[in-house]
Amino acid sequence: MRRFMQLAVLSAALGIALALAAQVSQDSRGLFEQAVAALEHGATTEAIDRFELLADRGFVHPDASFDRAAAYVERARGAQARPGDLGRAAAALAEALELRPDDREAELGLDKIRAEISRRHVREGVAPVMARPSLARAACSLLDENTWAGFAALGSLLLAAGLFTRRFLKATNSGVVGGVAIGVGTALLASCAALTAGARHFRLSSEPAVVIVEEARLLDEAGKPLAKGRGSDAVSVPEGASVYVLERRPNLDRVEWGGVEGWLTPGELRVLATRASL
Amino acid sequence: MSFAGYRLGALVTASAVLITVQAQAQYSTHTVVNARRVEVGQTFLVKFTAMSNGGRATVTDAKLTLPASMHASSPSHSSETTMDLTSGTMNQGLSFTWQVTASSPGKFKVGPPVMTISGTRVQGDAQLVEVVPAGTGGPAGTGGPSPFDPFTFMNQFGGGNFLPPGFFQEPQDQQAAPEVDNSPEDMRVQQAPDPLAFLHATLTPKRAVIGEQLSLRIYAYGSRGLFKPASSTEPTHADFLSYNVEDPDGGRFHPLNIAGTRFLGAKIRELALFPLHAGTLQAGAMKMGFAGEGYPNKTPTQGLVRESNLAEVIVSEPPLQGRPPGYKLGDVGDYTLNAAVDPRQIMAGDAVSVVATLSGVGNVPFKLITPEKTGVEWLEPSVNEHVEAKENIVQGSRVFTYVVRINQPGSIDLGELTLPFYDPKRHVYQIARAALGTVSVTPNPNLSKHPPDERVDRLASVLRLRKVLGAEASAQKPLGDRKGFWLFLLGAPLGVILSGGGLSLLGTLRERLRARGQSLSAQIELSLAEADSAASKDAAGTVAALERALFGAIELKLGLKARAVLKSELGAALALRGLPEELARDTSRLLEDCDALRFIGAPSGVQAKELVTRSRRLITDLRSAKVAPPE
Repeated sequence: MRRFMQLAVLSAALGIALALAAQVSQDSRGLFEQAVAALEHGATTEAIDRFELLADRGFVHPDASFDRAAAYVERARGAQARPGDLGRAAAALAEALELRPDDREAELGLDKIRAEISRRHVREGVAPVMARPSLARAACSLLDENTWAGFAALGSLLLAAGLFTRRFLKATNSGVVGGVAIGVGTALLASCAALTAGARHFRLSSEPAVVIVEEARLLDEAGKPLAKGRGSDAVSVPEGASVYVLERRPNLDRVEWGGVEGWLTPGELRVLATRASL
Repeated sequence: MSFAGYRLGALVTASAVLITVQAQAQYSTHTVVNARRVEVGQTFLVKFTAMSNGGRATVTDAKLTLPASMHASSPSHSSETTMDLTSGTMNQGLSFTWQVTASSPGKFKVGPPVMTISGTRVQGDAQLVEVVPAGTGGPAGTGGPSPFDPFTFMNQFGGGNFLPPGFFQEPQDQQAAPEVDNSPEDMRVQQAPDPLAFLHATLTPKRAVIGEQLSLRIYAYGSRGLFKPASSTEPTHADFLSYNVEDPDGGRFHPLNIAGTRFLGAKIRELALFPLHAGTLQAGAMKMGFAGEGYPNKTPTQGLVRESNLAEVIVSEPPLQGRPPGYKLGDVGDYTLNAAVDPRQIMAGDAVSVVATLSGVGNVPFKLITPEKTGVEWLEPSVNEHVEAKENIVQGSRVFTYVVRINQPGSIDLGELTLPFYDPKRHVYQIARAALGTVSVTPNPNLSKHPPDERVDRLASVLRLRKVLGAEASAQKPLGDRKGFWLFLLGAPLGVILSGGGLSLLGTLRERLRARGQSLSAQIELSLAEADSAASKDAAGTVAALERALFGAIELKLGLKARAVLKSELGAALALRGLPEELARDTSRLLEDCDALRFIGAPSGVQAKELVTRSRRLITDLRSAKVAPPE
């Protein structure tokens, strides 16, 4: 009897949880439709408010991110444009790409938006600043972490096959075949396992983010502007630039921008949702 | 009126009061009232103090005898320590204070109060109080400064002009205030971090949402009498937006008893703070120099410098549940929104003025949500504000004046201005709304002549709106997070290597075992075992096995293939190869017995079992025999 009661309570709790989850999902989809309708009617700010509320509620979807970018772009084009709109659009598209890496339209849109930001900076007399990621991060981000992992597994299998061939097969050319397999497998395993470990390290130790203000000045830990060098100007990260958040504090976030590390205020950044965070 | 006229039943007893004071048989007592003349219904205070310089004692009882027309509350009690500057002795005292209310006019004798200290009855003096009808005159003089007025010694400094006007200046009605702990709740502290002087910061409430009003109060406490600020720094509050709060009670001294020591406390600063972000935020850290007679100082300008503690508050975002679109973090309070539109009739391309007033309690937001309509353009508003802290609560209004250009002719409904906000008292989101109504817009023939905007729009149709949600992003489950993946990477080649090694090892072992199984020693042992098992049933088999064992033993010992030697010559051959003659003879004889058993059988008198035993012994002797080198 007691067991039956426990089962009944568990089932009821599960049912309620599922119903609540379904309700939240339904609400979010409804909010998405309202946002789309507002954008279709030219109410860009209203659409943005709704898309942002969706994001605040934790609704993560590549198409919602894409449409949020579209709303920001629409507002940036109109008279109601606000500073940082293009940066926010870039952040939304970068998020869409994080969630759906093969989204060509988002990729092209992001390129165009970043180009437009650079063009506007040039028009205002600000030289565009490019920052290349560190070699290790660039290498690790060439492919998806799981792809590196797949290649590492392939290398492992190849090495194992080579060893097997040399050890167990008695065919005349088994020594040569096994030797080649061992060589290729070892190289593949070592390099791809290292890249997998690197990609994993970067994933766990940093979060991708995009600068959403017109210019974000890098600060030191005390909040003072970071100097490029002796007597030179402060280092500024342009709108729409991708950075990696290494550490978060209430007032400042430690970021990596290219090879430079510094601190930015949380309001200057938009941290992106990723598939790993789902 | 005789004392007998008073009802003894009006005794007020402080029951179950157990307080330990320093006491002895010698007590000095003081009984005072804070008003000699009161109105009917008005409350006055009676304080009874017993002072002693002796040891510890327990107060078990305190009573105040009252006339029938008066009643009193349960007494409050406090202990105090004073120092006699002439004798240098410390005096410990205990006071009981009653709040007495008179219900009929007349002149009454109040008291005497009585205290029982460690079984000793200590009695004060009765006091005369005149009660007048209500409305005929308030409390009259107390007959000079109250002996328990903490501020009396202000007069030492010239009639109370020691402090700057308006700050740390006790009001006149406090001159006669009794030493009762009527300090604000916020001011009371359990422990004094410094016996001389200290600052204490409080931040309330302890949990809040972003944008909710908090109160930061800094109190100064001194145990050496009155003080004034010699120097001060403002309290830190980097994570907050602040409003200064003018408190009428600010700077007023309150006597407090903190862990047995009498302090004077005063609020020196109050700020209304609005947290700007979530987290555990800190405020406080204010420095102040205490200046006054009893406060040592390094420099006269600094005074005795003390720093307040840091007060913390846990700040979170308002809940996501029920959050309306357009809500901006920090918009917290309770607001109403009104708006006026003027004019209501314009030509297309002209503008109307929209004046919106947002008023309420809280840090009134700086931005409203304007409606978005095709052909209606809202320009940035000018904002006038009047926000201040009134009675510790920040409130006020902001007036937003918009210029709204309408390019489309017709009856244009402007929609409504809105402001979503979070009400922390009701814990709900609300939306302040102001409907703007319609504006009649007549066509403007010149409007179309405006030059078109020739800016190149590079962002046009860069992104096509996606009206439906496609496939959801698949959650990435990184292989690198699985231990099995890394085990597999190493395990696959290592497995092959280990398997190969294992197989090799196995082969070697097998080989060795096989070799071992084929060795002479093994064969000897095997043959003996076979002979043993066959001894009882198969004489021929036993003999054959014993012969194999014996020939093996000879070969093992001497390297001689004995089968090739005639048995009749075997003894000599063995001896020739260095085997002791006796052993050689025994060997030959055993072989002959074997033949006898084989060919004659049991009639030969040779027993198979006995033969096995002899063979074992002989083989053992053979293996251990010392072989002489052949001559």
